[in-house]
Amino acid sequence: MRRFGTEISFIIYDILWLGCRDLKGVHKSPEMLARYCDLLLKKTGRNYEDQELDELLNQAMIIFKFIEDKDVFQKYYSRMLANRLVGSMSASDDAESSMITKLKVACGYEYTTKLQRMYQDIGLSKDMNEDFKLWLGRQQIAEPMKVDFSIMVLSFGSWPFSQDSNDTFLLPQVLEPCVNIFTQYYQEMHTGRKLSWLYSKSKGEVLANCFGSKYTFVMSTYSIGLLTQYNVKDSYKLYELVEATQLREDVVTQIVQLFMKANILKSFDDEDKLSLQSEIYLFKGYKNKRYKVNLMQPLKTEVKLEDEKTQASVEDGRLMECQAAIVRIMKARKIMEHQNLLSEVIMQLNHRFKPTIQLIKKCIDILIEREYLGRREGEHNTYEYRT
Amino acid sequence: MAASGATNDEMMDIGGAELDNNKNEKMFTLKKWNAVAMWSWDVECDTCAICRVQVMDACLRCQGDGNRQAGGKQPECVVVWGECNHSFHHCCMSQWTQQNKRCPLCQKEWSIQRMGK
Repeated sequence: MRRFGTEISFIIYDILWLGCRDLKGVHKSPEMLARYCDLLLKKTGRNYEDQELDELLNQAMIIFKFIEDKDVFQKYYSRMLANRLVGSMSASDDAESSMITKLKVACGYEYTTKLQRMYQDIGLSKDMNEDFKLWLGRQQIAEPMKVDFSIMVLSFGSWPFSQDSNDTFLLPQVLEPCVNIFTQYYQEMHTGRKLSWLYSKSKGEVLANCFGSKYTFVMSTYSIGLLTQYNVKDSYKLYELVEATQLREDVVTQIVQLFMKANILKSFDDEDKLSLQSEIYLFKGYKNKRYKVNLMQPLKTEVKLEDEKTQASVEDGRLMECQAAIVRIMKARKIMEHQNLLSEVIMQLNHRFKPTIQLIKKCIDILIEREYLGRREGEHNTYEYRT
Repeated sequence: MAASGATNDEMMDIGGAELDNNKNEKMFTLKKWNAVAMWSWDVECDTCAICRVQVMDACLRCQGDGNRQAGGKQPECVVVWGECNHSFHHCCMSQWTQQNKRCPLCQKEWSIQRMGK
């Protein structure tokens, strides 16, 4: 404990003594611990030496053992890991992999399968990019790619991402060859697979020549689609941008707001009072001390959706785990009294989360309905296992 | 008169667009694109009817094997399509065909149409 820095002692204090609950009384400690791990593992200005980092992670693991809702931690951790990996924001590959191993030792193989698969996908993608370049050298392609292209191919189901909801989006023309050529390569290498592109996570570097100095902007594909409209003219009504990109209105509005915050686009209307009729024009006087500007930010609606999904997937997971525990117990015991069943279920699930009585009752009802269990005749309080 | 006016306007438009296009290359040009995509098996039903596990995940048997392996590396667990277009984990299906040469879903004779890779 001698090396506990100020940060970590704060967090221990918060988690173990204050209990940090939000307004609804939900325990925030799993989320906070996941955020702390993210802080350690993310590339920042100051990063730790390998050894020091490993020690800090070990300390985090001590706290992890005290956490009741390990399933909630898992969901948050997986979301943050996903964003680190996809954004190439990991401070160290070794540290990522060693943290996954630590979690596996603490919670078992199943707990980390998806984390491991995510980590593997990134490794596979690196190799694939090399292979793709070689393949490209051997091909005669009518319409070659005009941009420096690289890709990550993730396996569906292991990542906490869902498919893009803006499926009408008009891909900027310069990107079409990339998508077509890579799809061709992928079909040649694999059979029976289909690809879906996550444009909101795909980022590009745009060189801007219309301002005083040359700037490079890093932004999502949707933002590229919107900003390159200004190659044609300097001003659009918001509804014209919606038409030109075929993105949803709320998405366009958020992207425009993002550009307005960055001082690249301007409007006569206030940032938060934009309407379809708002005039959005390019601000030619743009200035920045930095020549490379990062405009890659997740949209608010997207973050909100992800939050909701994290919540929902925790609840779904608990429902399944609880039912499985009940079936396991009843399969072994055949007949069991209500109170005994409750305590045994709680005991079995304790290493993952603390089930509420409500949840267990709900699961029992589901299982009775699906005829896994039945109430014993005459003894209403006793269940029997039905085969 | 009106007609000729329109063509005139059109010509102006085209000229303008071309000029803009030339200017274009200079305004915003995309240099680099780091794409992200997700792959999944191209199946009609995403659950394997034999082991009731999602076809994207390894089948139950393979998950158990992976569990036992110290390295924890998941063995390759691919998908197989029959001529009837039904799909299962290849491992599950090869077990099944040892007892029964028919598709468990439609009872047609099982023959492999393609294998996932």
